[in-house]
Amino acid sequence: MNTLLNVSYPPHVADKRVLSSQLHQIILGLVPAIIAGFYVYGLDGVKTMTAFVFFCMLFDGISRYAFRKDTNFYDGSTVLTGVLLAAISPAGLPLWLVVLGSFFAVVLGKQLFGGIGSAPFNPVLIGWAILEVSWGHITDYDINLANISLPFSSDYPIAAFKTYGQDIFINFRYEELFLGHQAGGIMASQVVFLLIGGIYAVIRGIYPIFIPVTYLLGIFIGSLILGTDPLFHLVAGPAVFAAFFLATDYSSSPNTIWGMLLYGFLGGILTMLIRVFGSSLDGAVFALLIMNIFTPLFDRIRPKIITREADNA
Amino acid sequence: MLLRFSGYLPKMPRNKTRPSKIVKMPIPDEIRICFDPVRYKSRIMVDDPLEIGQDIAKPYFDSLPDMVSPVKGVVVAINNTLDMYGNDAQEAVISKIDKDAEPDCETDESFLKLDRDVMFKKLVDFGITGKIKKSKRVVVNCCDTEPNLNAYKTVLAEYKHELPLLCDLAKHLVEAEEVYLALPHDMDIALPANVKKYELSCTYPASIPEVIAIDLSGHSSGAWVISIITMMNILYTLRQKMPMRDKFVSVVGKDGKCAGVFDATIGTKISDILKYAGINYSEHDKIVIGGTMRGISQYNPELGIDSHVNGITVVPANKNVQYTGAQCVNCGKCVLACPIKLQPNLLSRYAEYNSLEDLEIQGIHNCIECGICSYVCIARRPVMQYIAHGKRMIKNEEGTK
Repeated sequence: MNTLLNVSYPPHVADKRVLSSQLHQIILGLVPAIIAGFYVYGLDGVKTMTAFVFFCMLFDGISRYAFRKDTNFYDGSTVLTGVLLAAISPAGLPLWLVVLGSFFAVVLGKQLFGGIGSAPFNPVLIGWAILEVSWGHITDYDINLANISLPFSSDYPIAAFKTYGQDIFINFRYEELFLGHQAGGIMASQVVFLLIGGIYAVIRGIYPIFIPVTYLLGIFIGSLILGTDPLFHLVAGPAVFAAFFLATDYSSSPNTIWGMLLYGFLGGILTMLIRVFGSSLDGAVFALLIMNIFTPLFDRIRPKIITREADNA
Repeated sequence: MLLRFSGYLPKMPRNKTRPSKIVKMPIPDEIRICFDPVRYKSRIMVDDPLEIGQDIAKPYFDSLPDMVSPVKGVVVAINNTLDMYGNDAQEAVISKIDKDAEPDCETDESFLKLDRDVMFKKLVDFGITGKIKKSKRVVVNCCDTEPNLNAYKTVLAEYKHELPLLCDLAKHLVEAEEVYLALPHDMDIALPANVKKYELSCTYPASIPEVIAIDLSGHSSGAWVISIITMMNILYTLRQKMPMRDKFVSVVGKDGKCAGVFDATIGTKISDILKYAGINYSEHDKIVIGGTMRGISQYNPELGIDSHVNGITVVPANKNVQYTGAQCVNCGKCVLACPIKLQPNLLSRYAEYNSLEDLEIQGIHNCIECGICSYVCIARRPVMQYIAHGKRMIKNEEGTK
């Protein structure tokens, strides 16, 4: 009776995985793409990414202090937000846009809603969408990359497709695009490395496999329906990046299997619609933002609860 | 299937134990038997001498068995205490035990011809079980529900010659049409006639009674699942016409390995069993009745075991999992893992913010409290704990109306 024992409600064991380890795994999966991005875009890429990560951490720290949040600052979620923001932004983005983008993503997109898990939209999408809508002429890939010497054509493939239509396909070799020899975001253009990182994350159980697969399937089928080349749209622009790293955000994606399948598939179709008919350059960001709105609805598509007794009615 | 392949859900705890030997524990010097004063009427006073099988308390409802004394001794004290499940209880301390006393038993093989009602009357008198509802299917579960425990497997290996009789008896008890024998996949047991095999991989939560019932009938109470240990107790009671005296308890040490299966007298103190099994515990360890997934942690190791205990697990202090009140990150693992197909992420939030109506709309009463949602949670959020709290709040609310 003298021994003080611990008591608690069951279960008394838990899986070893915790949130921070999962988020660190995602960042680890992104490392090949980061290195490739730095290799291609040089010091400008390093500068932009460092600035994004730094300002995201800064604003996160300030808002945690202001909102009296005691959640784990070092869980890696803010670093991930910064890295993902840098991934879709062009190298050499002006610093004041980096600051604003970080602010919108972390404070407006995440902390105002209550932090990680409570945000109805992916913070990265919020941050980038505001930048692109408000300062589209500055965030434009072609303008930012004009001053950087690239070993390949510095035409942003999606922009070229928008301007010149189907005829542009002969200008691009798809295997070159796939290997990352395309202008675009620092990492979002490193398709093959993102694919490796994404598959790594899926195998390590960070994300369910359904969303990336159905998103890419949606792009494929959408482009077939709209009469363009599906292979071009799979490898050009941030399609693979969006499939593995933007669409799968925990808090803004559905939880049920059918919800995930529909979310990914419709997101892919919507991306294609925006790429073909929309005025915005980047279909993926706005398509996923719109799909995020419908996430609570997708969550209602759920299997029937198994009841205790058979229904007599 | 795809989920398992992609590794999104973690590997569920798996029972990898092998059957061990049953060790008969000597009758202790003092036993303690708890009963709930709300449901039981006491039949004893301090200094009363007790015979084997004498009633300690009688239940007010016919769904409960009598509390009978497993030993011959003297009641030395009756204390007010909390029982193993944290409810108010009265505890009868029986001492001065005559260890050589044997009950008058006669072997009777004709019990299967007894009427069902007569059989239940006997079972209630002998303190085994109350009346059981009729059911279409009956499953004799021979696979331990929790990881690390091996009591069921050991009893199965030791008493496999009794299986045909056990299955007939189970069928007779619930007047079932189909009898299933739930066997662990790694044990080769000859199947009795007219019994269907239900093979279990021993991966939690596939082996818990509710999930077996769901698998067979589509509803968590669609089949009557009974453990092989309870069935053995029923069989021996009916055959030898003597009360239930002891219980097979599997003891798991700090290293997570099974220290053996002990045949302990009902009412033996938990501390005595652990001492006999050679397991030490120190401050801030957890002593859990049952397994680590559904077991109940004890504050007082001096309590006596009751007839429902089938395992004692000691969780060392350095392996204690700290569930924090962290917010849900909406990863959805609990939703995909839930065997009842509830949405534990929503339920835990509703329970956290006392939204009782939403809890009922989301079907909280269907939860079987398997604990998988807490197990898989990457935020270490006490998901199942919140749900259990919500259930209790609803119960209290209904009580006040």
